[in-house]
Amino acid sequence: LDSKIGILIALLSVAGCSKPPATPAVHQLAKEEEQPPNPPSTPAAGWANSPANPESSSPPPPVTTPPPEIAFSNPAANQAWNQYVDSFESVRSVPAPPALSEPSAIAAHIAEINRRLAILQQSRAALIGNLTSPEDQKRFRTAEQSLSESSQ
Amino acid sequence: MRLLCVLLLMAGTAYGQIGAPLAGLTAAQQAQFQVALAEFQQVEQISEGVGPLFNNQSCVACHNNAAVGGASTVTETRYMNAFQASDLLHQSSIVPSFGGFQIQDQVPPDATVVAHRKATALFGMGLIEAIPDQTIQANVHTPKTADGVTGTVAIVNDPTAGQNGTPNINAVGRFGWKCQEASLLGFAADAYLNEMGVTTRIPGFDKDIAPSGSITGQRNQSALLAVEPALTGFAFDQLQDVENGGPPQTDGHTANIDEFADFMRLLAPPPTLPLTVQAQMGQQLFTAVNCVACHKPSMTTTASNIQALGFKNVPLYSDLLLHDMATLGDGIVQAAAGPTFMRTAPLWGLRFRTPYLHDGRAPTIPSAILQHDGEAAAIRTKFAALPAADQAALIAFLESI
Repeated sequence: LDSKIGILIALLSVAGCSKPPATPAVHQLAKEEEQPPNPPSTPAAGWANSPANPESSSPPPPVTTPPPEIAFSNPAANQAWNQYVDSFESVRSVPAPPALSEPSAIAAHIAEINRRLAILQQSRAALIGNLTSPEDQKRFRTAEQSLSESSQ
Repeated sequence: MRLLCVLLLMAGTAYGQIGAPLAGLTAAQQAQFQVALAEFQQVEQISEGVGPLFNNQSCVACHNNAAVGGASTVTETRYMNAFQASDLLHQSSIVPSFGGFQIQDQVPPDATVVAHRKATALFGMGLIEAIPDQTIQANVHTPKTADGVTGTVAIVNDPTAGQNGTPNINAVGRFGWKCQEASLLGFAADAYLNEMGVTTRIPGFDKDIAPSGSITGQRNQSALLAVEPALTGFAFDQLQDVENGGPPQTDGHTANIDEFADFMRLLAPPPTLPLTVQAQMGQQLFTAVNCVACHKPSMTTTASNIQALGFKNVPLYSDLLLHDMATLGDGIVQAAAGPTFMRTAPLWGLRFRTPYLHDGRAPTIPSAILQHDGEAAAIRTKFAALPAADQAALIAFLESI
């Protein structure tokens, strides 16, 4: 009989939309979700400026940080890595088009981005071709992730 | 009362807004949508089959960002052991403790992987369902692209085969973070059982199955009831009601899973914003960087008995394939997806589902992009190489679609 009463209480509890307490793990998760998101890290204001804005015609130089240090077992891979980093920086240094309202300027800018991205892709393929051990492949993946993050 | 709710909801729904029904529905389909919308928001009770374990008592509790049917910041917890057996953690139980028998779900101590997943947005799901299997299969890159992208079709068992016009037992999975479901009816049955504990007529989600979690290590209700027969009758959803193929209710309404599926099927895709010049440039960069290798801009539906779904362009920005995402995988084996494989998330309506990625780990879109890995590593690095203004343009595009 006691068991039946216990169940009845539980049923009434649900009927009233109350819920058993969450597990500690779930509660912790809920707390994390309440954290407000960080503000966007990429400035968009420069794009909203008119072409007459000095910032549009002379954008600030890209912030560069030293590429992640890395040492592969294959010397050729080290050289390929340096070329890869150079091609990465080459894309990053493409100047912004002087005016977003000028379609030809945008087209030229996209074309230049495309050209340098193609070089970046080729240098990556060359580098991967020189990764001769699983350890080097792992080093590459880690270093490439760091390279991506260092640009922010 | 039901009719009153529908009329009130119809008065508040406008076409072209987030959460609106598809454009071009017949009057009967519009009414069907409103009934389904009301059911989607219905708070279910034990008498209707909720439990014994559940995460919530209504669909809308987890699908509500921007509108009913949206994503949310609610995450579910999944776990897996060393033998790749995985399950879902349920936050609530109708009888947390009974006769010394613990029925409060918890992550078992032998779990080797614990992952979290956000509730997905449901906008435009009917259009996704109407994309032919062959169209998705054609998205696989063989050989892989220069960026290392290939993609895998998720062939899954469709438990709704033969029901509601879904003929394939082995169909192309396209719904869920792991492409684990091929049809909206299956998706609804999966969620109804695993999120709310309500069994249905769908094999694998039927009345002899319980979301057992860590209770017994097995999912068979009969086995559990043999251990604790006093639970019979109310601790599990063994109701032989309309959900389990019983006769329709007196008001004529069909099973809830049919209405949930109707809601998702008839829900319009998220509206787009006009592309500014900056966003137009971002669209070009989206292609230049080759985000389109996985986030395919659009696919086309096939014929449908719902005219609003037939032969339509679907700008979802996904190939609906699984990709090896390496460190971005959630570590869970599910259906056709290995631990590092995840579905290409559709990007339409991205602005309505912050924070980003499957577990909400990325507070911003750039953060989400930079956490791509595996097949997407080379493309992630290309994005990272872009000048800041170009990155901002690409983000402006993503916030417009």
